[in-house]
Amino acid sequence: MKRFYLKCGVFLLPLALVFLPIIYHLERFRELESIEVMAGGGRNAELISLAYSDPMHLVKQEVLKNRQPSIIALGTSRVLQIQKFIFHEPADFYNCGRSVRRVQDLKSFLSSYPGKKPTMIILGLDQDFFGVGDEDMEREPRSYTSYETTYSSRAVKASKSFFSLLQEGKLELGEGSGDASRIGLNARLYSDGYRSDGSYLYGKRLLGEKSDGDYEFAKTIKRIDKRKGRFASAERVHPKAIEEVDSFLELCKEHQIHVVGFFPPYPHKVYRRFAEERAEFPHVFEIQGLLEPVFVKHGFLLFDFSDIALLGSNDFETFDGYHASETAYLKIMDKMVAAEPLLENVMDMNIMRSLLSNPYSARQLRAELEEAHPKLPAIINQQPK
Amino acid sequence: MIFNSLEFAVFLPLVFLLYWFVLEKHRKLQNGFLVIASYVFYGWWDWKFLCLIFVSSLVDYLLGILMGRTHEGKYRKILLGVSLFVNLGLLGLFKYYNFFAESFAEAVTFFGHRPDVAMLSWVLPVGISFYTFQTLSYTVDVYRRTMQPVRDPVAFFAYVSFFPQLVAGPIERASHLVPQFMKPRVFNYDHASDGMRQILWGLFKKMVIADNCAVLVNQIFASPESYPGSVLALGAVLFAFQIYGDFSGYSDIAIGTARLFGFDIKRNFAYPYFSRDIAEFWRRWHISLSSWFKDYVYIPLGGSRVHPWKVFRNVAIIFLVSGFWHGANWTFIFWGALHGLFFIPLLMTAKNRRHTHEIADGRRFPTLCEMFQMMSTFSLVCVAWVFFRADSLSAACEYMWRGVTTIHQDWNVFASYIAHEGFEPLVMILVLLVAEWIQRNRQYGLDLSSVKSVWVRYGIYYGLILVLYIYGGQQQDFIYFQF
Repeated sequence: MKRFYLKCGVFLLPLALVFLPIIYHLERFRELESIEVMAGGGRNAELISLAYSDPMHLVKQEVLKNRQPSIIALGTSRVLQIQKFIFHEPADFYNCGRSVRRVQDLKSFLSSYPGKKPTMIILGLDQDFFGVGDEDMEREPRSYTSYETTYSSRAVKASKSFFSLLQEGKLELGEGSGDASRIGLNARLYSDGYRSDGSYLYGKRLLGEKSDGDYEFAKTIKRIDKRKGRFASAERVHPKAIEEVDSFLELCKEHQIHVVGFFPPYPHKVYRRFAEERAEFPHVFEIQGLLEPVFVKHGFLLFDFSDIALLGSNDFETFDGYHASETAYLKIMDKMVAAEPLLENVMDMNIMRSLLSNPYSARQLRAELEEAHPKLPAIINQQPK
Repeated sequence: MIFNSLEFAVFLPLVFLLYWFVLEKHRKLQNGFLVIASYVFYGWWDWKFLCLIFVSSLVDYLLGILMGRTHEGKYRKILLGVSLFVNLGLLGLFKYYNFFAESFAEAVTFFGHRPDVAMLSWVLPVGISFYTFQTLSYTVDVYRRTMQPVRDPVAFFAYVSFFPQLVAGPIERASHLVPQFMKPRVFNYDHASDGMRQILWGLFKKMVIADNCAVLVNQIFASPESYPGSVLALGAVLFAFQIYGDFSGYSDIAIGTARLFGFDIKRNFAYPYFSRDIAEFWRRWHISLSSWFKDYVYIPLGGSRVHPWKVFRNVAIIFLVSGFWHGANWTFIFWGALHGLFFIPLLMTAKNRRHTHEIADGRRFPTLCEMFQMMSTFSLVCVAWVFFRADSLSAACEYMWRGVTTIHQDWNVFASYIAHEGFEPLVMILVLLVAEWIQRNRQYGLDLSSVKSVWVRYGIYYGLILVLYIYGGQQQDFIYFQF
């Protein structure tokens, strides 16, 4: 029997030497927390951002099931800057940004909505939803069926991601273990992550931990030049994409959900680049005219903020070539509330006005401070509360 | 808890250590410990169902004792009747009540009235079909006097609840397993190593083959109207390997685990997809169930020693009951009936025992004739699997109809599906088939006891673990847990 124990030990030793340190590392940063714990909120999950997996769409489904908010923001990552404090009842709002990836996900999201549906959806429609080809429109919508993830399956998935990052040379082991009230390496070390209201904090950029990867939007402009991904050109606005939105709005009406739609902003520089070849980007310049009647038909409003300059903002009020800052989104909400009375009923205009009277995006602040000081001032390096 | 879970990975070494390290020389304590461990294992799903297995065990233990004390045939028959009533009653109530109630309601509705039939909203206890058959085999064997009643209650309870094979078999005969609880177990290094190998092979079949096939099978069977016939045919093939990987994988893990504790459990699968006809398939698939039905249903009905028409009747009953055992749905009964239809012509022409020798015996490759026989048998089995997998008879018929009528269409869709979705599972299935073909004369695919080189053996083990790690699919329930 001793021989058996010895052989088992010898056999398992290499596996233990490889995997135990990885599991320890993952546990140290709470990368293996369950969906239930992450959706639980409160002190235990002030900020969530896992470095080795991305279960946020499942976490958000779980939050919706638990909290049943009456107002949600829905869209891709480009709606993640709408936060709860602008509403009368902050606890009644949840940001479902990054829950959808394509236009056909909208109906699937609503059909799979757990429990009581919201009464209002602030809907961000990415322009590139409408400049897709036939193949993209044929793709299956995202599944929102929640499934139980076991500890072992989370550990396997995260460890695979660990090896993948190691291979790419992008592994960050981190020093110390950061703020224990947060979940995930990115949240604990870099204050990057999802807040409890579902919105996103770009901690790495705000704290200067991450260099500006899209300086003067060079990367974004390059992607437009190469027609890559979400910056691909299109021959036309895809009619099926319009139909998808129409049937989504129909479903919202059936469930007595009021929708306020908008096209999220690009930096002015990026918008001007699109405008140089207008004809190749009909989904940026023609979409408002095609989609607005659909919204009006259902009794809803649609706003076009594709050019951030329309908000009275400058390019500092962005994080990169397609994500605008909290300041820009405050301005977006301000513009929408002026035309949509139902929004005014649910928003706390005092807070809105007080924030808007002193609009200052962190990026602009940092740029001006860098000019004035050789190093970032200590105030930027403080952990945001 | 399921075998491919973290809980079991912690549970098994703990139980193993305590069993051999602390309790090695104490047979009765070992048996008692196994009962506790098995109840913990079973109760992990739902502790409320522990009372069912306890009641089943207690009733049959007492009935066995009483049968042993009397020689009066009538009284013994009554005692056997009680055992059948309790065990089949529990099984019938939990598993079949709603089926019969609904079928009755539908039949009466056909005549214009909808009766108000009460339905039960009880969850089916995991493994009830397996352990009730296991305990029934004991009481019938005692009744037939082919074994003596077990006096030791702990040994008997350990036999019924033995955790490696409790929830999904193999269904062990009392005459084979009970004596192993009655004698001291001595740790055997070779058996234990072999057990570990078989567990690893079972995990490969379950996690790499079955769980990956399951994802595609669920997609295809959920909306068959979205796919051409070629993809539907692929769906049937993938399900054939899903259920094989799942069930035989579980059996391998069960047998391997039992070996770790010094127990020998009989083989449940003998490479069934290498069968040359349906009769051979049923000698290789779920051997413990088919042999149970043969010994406790077919032979008491007269077996093959009666008039030929009665033989066909007996065979038909076996296949129908076998289908029904799997679940309370007409699809399972139809699946059994189909197999009966495939089998009976072989019986009528006395060709049901044609292929009792090993395929390609002494040769590396099968002959063309053998290949044809294997492919035809596999095709028939796949057709039947469609009914087994479908949610209803109508869904199965629609699947088959669409499969046949559109088989010639959209081959580019089929090619695209293989390239994007099915490539890895198909490669893994090929690996499985090659490995099992090479090992077809051995008990299981990873039986490397004849490989002398430790480097080769360890290389294969680590390679398999790497494959498990990289290709292990999203965890799915064991299919046979629902039975």
